[in-house]
Amino acid sequence: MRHFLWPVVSVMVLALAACTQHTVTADTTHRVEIAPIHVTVDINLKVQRALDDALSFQGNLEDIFTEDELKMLEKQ
Amino acid sequence: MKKKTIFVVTFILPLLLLWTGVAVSQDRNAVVDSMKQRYPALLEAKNNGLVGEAWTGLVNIVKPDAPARVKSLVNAENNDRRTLFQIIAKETGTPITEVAVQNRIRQYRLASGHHFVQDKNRNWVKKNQLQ
Repeated sequence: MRHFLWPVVSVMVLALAACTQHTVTADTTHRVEIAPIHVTVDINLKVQRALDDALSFQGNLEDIFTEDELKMLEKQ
Repeated sequence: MKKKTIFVVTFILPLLLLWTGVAVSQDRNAVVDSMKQRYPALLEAKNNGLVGEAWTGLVNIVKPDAPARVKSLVNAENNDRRTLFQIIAKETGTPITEVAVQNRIRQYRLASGHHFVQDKNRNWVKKNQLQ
């Protein structure tokens, strides 16, 4: 009986170990912070008026530029 | 010889200039009318996220699997826009590239928040996500 004890115990331990599951996860996402992009835009009022004249069905200059912007552009 | 020159300068040349002006004006009206008729369909395509305003001042397909009629719409719109840019460039004495840039500014400003536009890296983003 004692001869079989250790082999049986070993098999039981091995069987228990086989029942467990190990999963390994790695976080591969890279966090990148994008700083706000500042874009300087030059408005050409002469061309904008020509586009507005042709394409007024899309919307007027007043829909596109604020009053202050238009005043500023007209001063240039 | 002198009489002939005077006749040409006084009568023929002004007629030629008048004819050229009328031809350009008709082109302009034809292009604008064409764009006006197409506008509802173009707006619908933009609302459906199929078409967007490109960095070039033209429109472009956002989704590659857009229907053929939408691709056809984009081609027709861009042909008209290029013609209009040429006309306005001539009228204002501005390079065509400048007219295209100004049109981009105009279209971006007119776009609704959910419409697609291209950022400076030519990536499609919704206008309300554009920084």
